Amino acid sequence: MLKLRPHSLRNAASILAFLGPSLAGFLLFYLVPFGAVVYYSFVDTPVRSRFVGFDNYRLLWESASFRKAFGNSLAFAGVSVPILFAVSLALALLLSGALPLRRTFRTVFLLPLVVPVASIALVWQALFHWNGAINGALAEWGLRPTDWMNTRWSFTVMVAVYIWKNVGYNLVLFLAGLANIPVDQREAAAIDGAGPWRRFWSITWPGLAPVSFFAVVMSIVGSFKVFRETYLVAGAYPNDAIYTLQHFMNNSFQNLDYSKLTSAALQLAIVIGAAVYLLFRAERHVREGAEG
Amino acid sequence: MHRRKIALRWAIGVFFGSLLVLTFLSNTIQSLTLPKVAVETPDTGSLDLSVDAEGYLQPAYTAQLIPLGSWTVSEVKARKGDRVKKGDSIVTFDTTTTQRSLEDEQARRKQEQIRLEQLQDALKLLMRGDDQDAIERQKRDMESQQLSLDMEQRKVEELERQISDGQVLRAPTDGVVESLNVEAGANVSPGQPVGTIASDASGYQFVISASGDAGDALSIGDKVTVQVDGADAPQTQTAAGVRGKKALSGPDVRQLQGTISTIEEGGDGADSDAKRVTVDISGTDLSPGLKATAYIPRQSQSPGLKISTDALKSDDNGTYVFAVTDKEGPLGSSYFAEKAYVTTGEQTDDTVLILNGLGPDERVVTDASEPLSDGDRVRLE
Amino acid sequence: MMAWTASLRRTGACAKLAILIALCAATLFPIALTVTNAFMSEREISHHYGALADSGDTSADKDASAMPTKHVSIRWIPERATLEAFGDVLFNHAKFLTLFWNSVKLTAPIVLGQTVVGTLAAYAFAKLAWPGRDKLFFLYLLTMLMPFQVTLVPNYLVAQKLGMLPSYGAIIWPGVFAAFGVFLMRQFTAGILDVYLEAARIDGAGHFRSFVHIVLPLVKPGMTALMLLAFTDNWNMVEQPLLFIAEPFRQPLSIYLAQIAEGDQGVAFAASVLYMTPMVLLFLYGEDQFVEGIQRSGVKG
Repeated sequence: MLKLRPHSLRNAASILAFLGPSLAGFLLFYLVPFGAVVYYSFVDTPVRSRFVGFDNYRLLWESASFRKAFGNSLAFAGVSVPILFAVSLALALLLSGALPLRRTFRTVFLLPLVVPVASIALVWQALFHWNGAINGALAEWGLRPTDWMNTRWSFTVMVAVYIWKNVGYNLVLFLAGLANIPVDQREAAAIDGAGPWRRFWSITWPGLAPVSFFAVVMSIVGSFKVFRETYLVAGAYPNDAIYTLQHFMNNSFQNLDYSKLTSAALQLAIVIGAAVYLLFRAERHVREGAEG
Repeated sequence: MHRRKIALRWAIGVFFGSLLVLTFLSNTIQSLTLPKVAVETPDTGSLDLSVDAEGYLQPAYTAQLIPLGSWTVSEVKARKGDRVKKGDSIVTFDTTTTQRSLEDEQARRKQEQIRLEQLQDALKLLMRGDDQDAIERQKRDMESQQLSLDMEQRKVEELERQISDGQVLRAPTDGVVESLNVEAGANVSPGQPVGTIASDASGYQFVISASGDAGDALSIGDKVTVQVDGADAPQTQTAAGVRGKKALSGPDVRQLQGTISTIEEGGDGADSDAKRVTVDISGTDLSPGLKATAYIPRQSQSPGLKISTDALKSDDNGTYVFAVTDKEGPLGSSYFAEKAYVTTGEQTDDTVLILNGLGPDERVVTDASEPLSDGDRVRLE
Repeated sequence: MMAWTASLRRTGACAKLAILIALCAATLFPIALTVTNAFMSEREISHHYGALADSGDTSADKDASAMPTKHVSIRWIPERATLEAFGDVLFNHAKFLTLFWNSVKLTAPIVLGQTVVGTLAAYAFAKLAWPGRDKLFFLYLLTMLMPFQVTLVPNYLVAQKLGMLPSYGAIIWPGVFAAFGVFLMRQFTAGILDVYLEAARIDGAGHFRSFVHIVLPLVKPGMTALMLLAFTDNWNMVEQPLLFIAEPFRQPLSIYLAQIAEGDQGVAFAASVLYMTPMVLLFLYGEDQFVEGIQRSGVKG
């Protein structure tokens, strides 16, 4: 990296010229609003602005729907991220060798990422509706139909949709990670008589570590964005099992319940920030351990 | 690989391009594809079944003016529309032709007279002898001759009467000259009317048409309020426009009581539903061609929704209208025509009362650019 | 022995292929179904999907009459393939086009703006040194990871203050300055070898000249990648219009499609296909850059 000391005014000016637009917008639309979130979460209403300490938080935690939403969001991330991780890693390993149609497979798995959710929502409905195709098939086989979208099953459905949507992204990351692992290392291990299982754990897995951390971070972010899919398939008030923080916040916004919304936002931000921080720390730890 | 990229670039271009073109044309296309409908919202209330119709007075009885001989008109003394008294002379004739026949007949009567006298003289001669048979024969001849003379006498008298009675054609009754179709110099023949006089004494009548349920409600003998334009001026066709304006508001409008005398099925023109109603009125100073307006107030039995009769359609299942419903979508509202079966009440020739099956806020299709079927998407005009 | 291993390997490869094909089929299933059903006539669609209309929310008799009588039947092949539904969408639902352009109006400025702003800022983050640079970048990174709802209220209030609310500005401006653009472009810019810039500097080029003549040509694939990824993200936009746009006719297609799904399915499939087409075409066009963009974002820089 170029080490340029800002020794002259001219240099500072050029930094500002490059960074300026972005920084201004970033301050105006992200940092200032975030500061405002912190502020609003400690006052009663944005209009009256009376400092109420942690009252908003207390009220928030007393609200059953918030606790439910918070729990659901964490549960969703906790369940879907590992599954997505495993599925996409497995897929990447399957695709890593020489294989006919390899490129086509990759294209297909990436397609859900670009196909707008809204245009597929109808198919999900057709599948999982009470009168949907899956229940139709179950009924044909003499099994009890399940109300997929209105019971706890909806959680499973959303996990499936989430994986369908995001598997391509992680797959590409893992494929890149795998490509970075020198082939001769693996071949050397194979000659040493290491089985595929041992080869994976001793060579592939450590080699994937940096990519894995990023994949997990993006998966967590993605899991918080699954609101889109949920909203499009199940509407603004879905079953309890998939009522996430985003629903809670959207609905608070529409009810103009700003104090609830901002304190929930701040807590969500803290949780995500903490998770990201921990992951980065862990990554550095692993990297340094590998290097040292 | 490169070729694929070019193809994809084309595809993207064509996609956005065609959507642009379609956007540009979208309004045009929409106005081309959907049937256009005219709608109205029904009025709530009772249907006014009052009959308010105009007619022109006609006399109940008209006397004909019939000349007695084949003459030439020498003078026309009255004009159409003139009010005349009984005995007023209307047309005078040049009776020369009849005069001439009269003279011929008088000459022939003279001949018969002479013949009779000759027979009388011959009888006197026979009486002197006593050929009884010859006397008898002679007497019979004389009798026959007397009859011929009498006949001739009557012919003469008849012609004389024709001349004295017929030379001046007089009004047979008080009234108004309704028509007169001769002029000086015209030839007339006996028995062929040359004009008519509307008789005052018999009264006037006029015919109105009443359609639908309003017509059904009328019966013979009903009293009707009639307003008559008082202007005594002869009503001619050329004055029609002015007459319409003056209507009933003029100072010389009179109110009279009329009576329905006849009701006939099948009114004027194609409107077979309408009835011809004749109203008799009488009064002074009435003349043919005056405009009379009959007003028979009546309301429908029950209130309902009034819509135009154009909206009413029917099929095997009954009478229906197309009501326009709109579906508020994210793409704006779109309109659909839906069948609504209705129960109809009374109707006039342009309005019908809907008792059931329609809401007061519903829009009803009165006219469509294409035949509609249930559920069709339409454009409002 | 060798032959045995070889045949094992061959069966292994076959199994691998079979699994992949099965997974591909599963992945493609909803997309392919949407596409084929878009060619069905309205009548056929409502026949197959009519069951969706009578919602099963009558939970009381759900247990009593356990078996629903009618189900959606998934049909792949239209009885009679027709463009009727497309015609219906394009000709009869003239507003579809309005909403389509709404989507374009929202997405295009964000994509272009984000690329410009991101490329500029990325140079400052990747190739210039200044105090607090890495800390600021970490802040960028954090906001990138936050869900949209975190700054929803203040964003709304800022937009209100700046008088953008009735317009699309409230959605477009935050999108233009989204941290993702800076992040991704920094990943690409950081990959440029310093020697190039060093050489330019020795030749007397200022930052601006080296940016235009060296950085820009080298990060072109990165810009393509960013455009594609940003397009993907914003073409799918749901939350922002849902909260910021009240009038139905100013919504983008994403919201509209979620709403027509009820009842009007014949049109919905065709509209969905039209909606996904530009996205899929662009993706196929720039697939390599798209993939590279994702991979670069995962590389620790």
